[in-house]
Amino acid sequence: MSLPRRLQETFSPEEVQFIVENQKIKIFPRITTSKRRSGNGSHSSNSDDDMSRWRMLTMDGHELENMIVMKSTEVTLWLALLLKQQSKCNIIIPEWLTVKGLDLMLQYEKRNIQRFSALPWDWLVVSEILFKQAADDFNDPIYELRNRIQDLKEIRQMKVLQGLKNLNESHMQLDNLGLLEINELRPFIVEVMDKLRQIHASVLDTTETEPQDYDDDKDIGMGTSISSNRDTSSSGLPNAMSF
Amino acid sequence: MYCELANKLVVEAKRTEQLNSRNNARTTLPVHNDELVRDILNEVTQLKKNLEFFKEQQDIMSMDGASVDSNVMKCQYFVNLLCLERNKRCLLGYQKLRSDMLDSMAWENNGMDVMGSDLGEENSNLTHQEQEYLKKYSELITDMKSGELTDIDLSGSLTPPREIFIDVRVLKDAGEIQTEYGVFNLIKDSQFFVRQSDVERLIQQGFLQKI
Amino acid sequence: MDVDIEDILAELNTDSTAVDYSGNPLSDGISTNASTLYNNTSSSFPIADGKHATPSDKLNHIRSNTSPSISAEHDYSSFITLWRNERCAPELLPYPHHLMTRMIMRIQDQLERLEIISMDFMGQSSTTTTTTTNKPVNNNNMLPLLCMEAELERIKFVIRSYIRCRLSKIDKFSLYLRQINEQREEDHDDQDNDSLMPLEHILSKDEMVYYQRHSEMILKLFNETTLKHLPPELQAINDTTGTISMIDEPDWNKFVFIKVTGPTDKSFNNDPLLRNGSNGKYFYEVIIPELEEDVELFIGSIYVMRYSVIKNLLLDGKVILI
Repeated sequence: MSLPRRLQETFSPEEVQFIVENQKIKIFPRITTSKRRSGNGSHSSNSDDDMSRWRMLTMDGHELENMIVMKSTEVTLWLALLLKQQSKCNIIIPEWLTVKGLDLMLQYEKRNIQRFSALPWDWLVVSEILFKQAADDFNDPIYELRNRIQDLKEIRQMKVLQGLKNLNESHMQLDNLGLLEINELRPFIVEVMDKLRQIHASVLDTTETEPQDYDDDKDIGMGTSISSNRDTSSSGLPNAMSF
Repeated sequence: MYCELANKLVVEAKRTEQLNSRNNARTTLPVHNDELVRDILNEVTQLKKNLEFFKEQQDIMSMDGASVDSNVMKCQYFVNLLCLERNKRCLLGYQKLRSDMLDSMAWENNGMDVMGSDLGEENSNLTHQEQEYLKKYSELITDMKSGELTDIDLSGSLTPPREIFIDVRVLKDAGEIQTEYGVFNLIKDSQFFVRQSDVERLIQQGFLQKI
Repeated sequence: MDVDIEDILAELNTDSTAVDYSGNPLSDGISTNASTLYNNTSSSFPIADGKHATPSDKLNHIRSNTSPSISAEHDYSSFITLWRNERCAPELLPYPHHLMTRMIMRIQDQLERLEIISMDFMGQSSTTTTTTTNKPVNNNNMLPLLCMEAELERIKFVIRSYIRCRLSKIDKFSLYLRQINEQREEDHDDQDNDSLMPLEHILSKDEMVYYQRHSEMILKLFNETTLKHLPPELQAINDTTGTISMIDEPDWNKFVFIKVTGPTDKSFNNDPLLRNGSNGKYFYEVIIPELEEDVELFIGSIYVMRYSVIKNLLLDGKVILI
């Protein structure tokens, strides 16, 4: 197939990282690129000018062309990481990724068993990336932060596991769940809810009774033990034939 | 019993699919089960004859006016038809699985010439028609890659790019390499900052070491 | 060759008040002008004879049809959304003709630019010695280059992944596409039936070619190996008269994860479908037909729902698939 099977059900973790890297983050540049610009849109065939001109395809070059040392500015994460690798900037750690911030989140998680704290949707990926590539930009010691992240991960997973009971054939509401968490759960949840739907449909067919009442909002995350069920080949043979 | 052979074919197809989804390596196609397919087709011919026979019987009986056995006749006809359908689906399923794998092979290999070992040889795993299909599909892919979408390299990597440029150290003298950014003289213990794709092979061969 | 799209677009945009280049409020990671993404019919390029419009045609058209969503940043974030939607959706979504054309033009432009820059580099570096590390000498100058190259790889990756996803769906549903095409031709006289989009909107030209050639190939393979051995009544590949239909329709009831983003222009008051809940939050109301159940979809929340229930909201850009 044009798209390998493992990518057909869900995103690969690398792709999730790719998606996250498109988000913005604040940095302190270590170089200055701002120059007085002589005129807008004038082409210069002078090679020096060409090389210092940033022409980006996915963002407007405004921030990049006007970087001033130690004046904070916002760029996309992948660009920040590239600059960091070249030692051209320092990354400003986001507010929530501090000992204080994470402790607040942990408290919320412990207090509210039915809900998830308002961590940004990319919290797992961003924290991992920053630990690896921007370790020196943290004010708090990393091992403490890692511990808290680990705790958060475990608590949320537990909630998710318990929420599995609420899988049904109509719908679910899962506020505040992170993208990586959703991605892991996706194949499992989709398949289970599908089967439930089929069962429900066949029940309706055979018994002709009124369907029971269902609650509307299920404010819970669902969850799963995260062995991703990628090779559930119950989808068996290719689609041209159904057996 | 009818359709038992077809079941065997389906089981084989399923096994092939599972085997291939395990390893991340390139898709390989096992040998086409000519014998089984031929047997099934023989069965199909038999079923066809049965159908014709029942049809004739039906016509004769309706002319005679005797309608006692017609339900039995219809039932027999119907069962035969169902078996035929089932065989058709199993055969097509098997074929579709193989053609899907051929597709994957074509995508994985494209750019390079499709594995010479699988084309035009008598002991290849593919039937004649499959080889032809593979050839045509590879051509289709090549055509798709040209045109407006040339620059994106449609058969390129499906993992997101990381680390376009890397630091490398030279382990042994390797002469000069030519890159888009100039010529680098590879002298032992010097370091360079280069494009990963340019130096991939040299790293594999042991001339350079990634830092 | 001297045409620089960004400059022209920048000029256009300074005339209209909608785009603010410093901190564009329209572009956070998710919000997109998706309503123009999927509704290509509203503004069509004046393309004659099915040939591709030349760049100047397109620029002229852009001049007359300026909208704030053309900025590179916006296009890119719209494209990422499209990519994610396409991967998660069970059916083939409409093809974003204009968006793709713009992006490809930008890529080609950028490639030319990079070539020029690297040729300058060649001129320079031939004079530097290479026994010491190159770093301090070249890297400051190389920085824009690095970033541009890295970015180019990223864009290429997304487009590649997007197209391959679509191709695999075309393969999967080729019989179904044929069926709706034939239906559409039959209904041609019936002007009321506008619900089926013509195939040209859903597929790009290249995809059409791929679809036709590939189905031909596959049909030939199947014919040779099995179909011709069967009795004539069973020889059709798109046989719907048997016990099971051979045409695979997309699974309209597949469950998908959605995030509710709300109207793309952020004007909550203008959206007729949006209701205001008791706690002041806005929501959309949808009905699950099989269960006769009403569900409220609050803005900013994540849900798992059947695809068919939210399909229209998706095509309007009010929810995205994640």
